[in-house]
Amino acid sequence: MPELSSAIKKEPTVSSGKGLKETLAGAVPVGTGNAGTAAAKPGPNRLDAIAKGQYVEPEVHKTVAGENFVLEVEQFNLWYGERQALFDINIGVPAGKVTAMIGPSGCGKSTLLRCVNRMNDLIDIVRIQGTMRLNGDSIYDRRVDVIELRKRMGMVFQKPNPFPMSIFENVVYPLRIDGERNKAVLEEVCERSLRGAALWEEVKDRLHQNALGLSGGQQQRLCIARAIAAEPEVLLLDEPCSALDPIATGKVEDLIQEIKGEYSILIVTHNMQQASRISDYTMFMYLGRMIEYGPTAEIFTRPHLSETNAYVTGRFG
Amino acid sequence: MTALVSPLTEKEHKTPARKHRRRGSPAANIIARGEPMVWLTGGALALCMIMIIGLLTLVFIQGSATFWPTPIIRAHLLDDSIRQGEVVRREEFELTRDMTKNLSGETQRAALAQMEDRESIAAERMLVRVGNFELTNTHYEYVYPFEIRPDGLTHPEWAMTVERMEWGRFFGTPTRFVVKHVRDLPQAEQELKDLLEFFETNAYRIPTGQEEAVQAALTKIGDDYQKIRQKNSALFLTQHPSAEGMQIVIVNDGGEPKEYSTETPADAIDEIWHVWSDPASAYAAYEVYHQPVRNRRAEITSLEKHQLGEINSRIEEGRLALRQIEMAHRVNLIAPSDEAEYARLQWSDENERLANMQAALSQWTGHLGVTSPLVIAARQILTELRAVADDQYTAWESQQNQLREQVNALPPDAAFALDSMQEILEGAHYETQSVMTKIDELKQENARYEFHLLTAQKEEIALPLAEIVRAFPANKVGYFDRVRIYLSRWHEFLVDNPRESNSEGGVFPAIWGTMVMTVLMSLAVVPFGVLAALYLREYAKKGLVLSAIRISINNLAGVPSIVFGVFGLGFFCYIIGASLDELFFSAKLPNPTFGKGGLIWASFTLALLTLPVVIVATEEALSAVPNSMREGSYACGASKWQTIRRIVLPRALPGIMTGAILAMARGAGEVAPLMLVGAVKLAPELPVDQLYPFFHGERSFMHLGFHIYDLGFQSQNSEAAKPMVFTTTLLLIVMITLLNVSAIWLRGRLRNRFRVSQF
Ligand SMILES: Nc1ncnc2c1ncn2[C@@H]1O[C@H](COP(=O)(O)OP(=O)(O)OP(=O)(O)O)[C@@H](O)[C@H]1O
Ligand SMILES: [Mg+2]
Repeated sequence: MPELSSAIKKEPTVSSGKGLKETLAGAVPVGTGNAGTAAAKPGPNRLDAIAKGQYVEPEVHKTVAGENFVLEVEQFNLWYGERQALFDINIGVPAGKVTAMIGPSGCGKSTLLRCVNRMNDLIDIVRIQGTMRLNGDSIYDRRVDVIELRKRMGMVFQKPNPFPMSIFENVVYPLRIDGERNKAVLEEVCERSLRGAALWEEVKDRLHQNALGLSGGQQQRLCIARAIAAEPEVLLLDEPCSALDPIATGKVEDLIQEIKGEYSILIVTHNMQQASRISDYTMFMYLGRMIEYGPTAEIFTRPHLSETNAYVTGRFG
Repeated sequence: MTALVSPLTEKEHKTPARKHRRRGSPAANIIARGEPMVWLTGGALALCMIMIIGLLTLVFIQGSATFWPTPIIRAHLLDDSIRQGEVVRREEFELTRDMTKNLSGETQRAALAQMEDRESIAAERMLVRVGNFELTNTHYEYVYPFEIRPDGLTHPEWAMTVERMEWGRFFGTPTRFVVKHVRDLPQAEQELKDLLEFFETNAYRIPTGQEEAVQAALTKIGDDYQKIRQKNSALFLTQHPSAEGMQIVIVNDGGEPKEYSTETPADAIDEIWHVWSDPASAYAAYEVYHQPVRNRRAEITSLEKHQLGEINSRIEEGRLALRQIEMAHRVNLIAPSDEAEYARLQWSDENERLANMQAALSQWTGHLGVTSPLVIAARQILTELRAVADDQYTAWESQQNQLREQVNALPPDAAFALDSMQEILEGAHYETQSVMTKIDELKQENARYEFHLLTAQKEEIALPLAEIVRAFPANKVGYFDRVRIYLSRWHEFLVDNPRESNSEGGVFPAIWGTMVMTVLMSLAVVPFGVLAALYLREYAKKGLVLSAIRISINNLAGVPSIVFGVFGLGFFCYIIGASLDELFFSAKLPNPTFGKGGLIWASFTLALLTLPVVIVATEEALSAVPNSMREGSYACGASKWQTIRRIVLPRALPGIMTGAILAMARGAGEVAPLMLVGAVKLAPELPVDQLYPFFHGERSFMHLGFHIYDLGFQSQNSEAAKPMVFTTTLLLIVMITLLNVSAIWLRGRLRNRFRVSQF
């Protein structure tokens, strides 16, 4: 959607002077959270150090830096009221790839994901600090129109949330709110998105029935279809399979595999197998900090940090 | 295995320490099991249900029994008087020695005999609806058991219950049914009659010197007239022959009706009456003729109401236009213009009469010849009458010229208003005349039928058929006829206007008023309430102010409704309504148009009263919309308003409807504020009818709730009103129930759209 992206003013980004790639390549961090400045030494006491609130150097694999980023996050901190939930996040999400986020419950994966399309604006107590850029356009700039920004992304939530209307209307909702009336266009988009979400064959005869009559798995795929209907630049998936049975999960995974060339996908999952199956890159988070980030194969077979190894093999978390 | 374990468990059970620790007192144990709570909650529910069902049953039984036709009793009393009517109820009372002191003669003896030596005994008395108000001055009478003669209580076979338009019920036995046939005069007879009448009325105008010649000619014509008349009368008799079970009575020259028989034939007949004089055939004749007469009566009512009403409203409009001119130029126009128009119309009527006479004169000239003294005299008389008419014309002309002069001094719109007013008055005059002729014809036709009944006191009363709503021999009708009467009374109740200060007839205006007001109120309150709730829930910043507003809205729900009535009267009627009157209806002042209670003000007042209900319900519905749906919408790039309109509102609609239903039910049943802002005892003009502009929001209206209050507490004939109170209550409850059921059904259909399937 060229007219949408051009609607957002391309601001020179306010960055800390250094490029993100340098930061990711292991530069010394600039800002600190709230803890002491002394970097804890990598070792078995790393998790304890984090728990004590000390700064811990994130481990980013070299391969990541070679990628072309669609989304760049720099020195990102977030507070829910007085409580800090994200600490010094510096990541880049590669374009056209699937990036998975893993980590124990409550470590801030959803929070980070929701920051990307500024869903956290809806929560009054949230306060943020830092920079995010979508294809070079600052996300948190004052002059950014949030609505236009969200139109550039698609998001699928942990729980299926179809709207109380027909299947057809659900899928074309993003176009409807843009005022699209042309029936031919709508029908074309509806079919393409539903095919994309591997739901077309199941619902093509009941497009005008209520979407709430679908099964949970179908509903989730419908939400995916809705998310890709407006051809977004980034797809944000927050545990899309947590409520699904294995068959539906398989279908959603197949779908992610199919569409990943066209879209850049950021996915949160608790399922290690799923992460290893579908993602190209994986990032491990713990207590609001990014711990390790690298190609999926490396993270699951030979992670640089023993903590990551412990988590992916199920020894803690 | 069991053998191994059981001794151990038994031992455990016996361990005193454990027993002590686990078991509290027996009472605590029972409480812990929760059984008392089951009884408490169940008991509370049962109590509620008993009260509600009790109330509903009472209303239902009393309300549905009102219209059931009951038999008629006749009680012959010891003092020789007779009570005849329907038994309304029997009730226990205490007969004391003091009470017997007021009794007379035999009655007293009978009462004392019943009491024997006791100071007081319990006895049962009957309340009898005796009706015949114009004769007895009472509708109800108590009948005591001891005052009835032995064998004095009978059910007369042919006693009839008659429901009438006025004076309430009538009880009596049919004696005869009369159908009058009036003879139409053939042209020849009519002409002679006119001629004779003309000279009779203008006798003093016969020119002097011609009296004798005229008189001689008249005598001859009189003889001719009598001959023709006898011939036509004989023919008339053969046209209306007697039939089985029927008597013939004739009337001649407006004299006493006398029975006709072939032995004593009458020479001339003006009217023939067919009379059925035994109860059975009289009642049969009544059944044949009643419905057509009622239809004609309905036609008269509709002519009066619609055609005459329309003419009146036209005149009113013209008068208002003139009144505006009057006010603008400080002149006096309406009264003189009315006078002038009246004079003109008088002249034109006279003129028409003269033209008719002229035509008759030329007829007579044809028959009698130009030289007949009658013709000569008549011509002279006509010339004289013409002169009188011309005088009338000049009188009108001078009045009119004066008026014109006055108006011509004013701007042209004054002349225009005057012209159109006079035009309206002229048109109205002729239209009224033609409508009145039609009405007169119908009335005359109806007057041909009479139903004579004999009261228990042996007085014969002739009831005009048009005045009878329904009549039936109450002791003879079978079960199916009773059902038919019952249904027809319900039908009347639902579709007719009230009669006899609301204690009889129907409640249609009240039903209509209640419905229109409720709909109007909902139209006013729902959009407002929903918008307010949307702001409170979706836009307002949470904080102290918001909480304060919420609390005040909830408090509003607890304000006594009469306070809303006072506010509505003060604000809507006296401030807004009065300003509207001053701006747009100043010509009608000092008569208020909007500056008094009316349908729209009542609706607005009730809208205000029910606003909290809608706001609270809507807020609840809005907050019940899952946040995940909102987030989904925002994530698609929807703005706040798009999210509200496309996701939140549709999803909250069932809840909003619940609020609307509650508001409607509350509003439809509210009475107190309505008394101040527009509900009245009797408003035959409906607030919505077929007269332009169809909706008359400024009119007062009838309301079922107010109707109940009025019947119950304001009615003069409270015994007759009491059953109607129950019936009207039943109707109101049924109406609100229907309203609710349909709204709930609608809500159910909406809700189906949001039923989430569980995987
Ligand atoms: N609306 C909120 N208000 C206050 N604190 C919040 C809110 N949402 C999340 N948090 C806190 O922020 C932290 C991160 O939450 P988040 O939902 O991002 O975790 P998560 O990694 O997605 O966990 P899970 O895997 O269980 O979904 C948690 O400690 C949580 O308690
Ligand atoms: Mg989460």
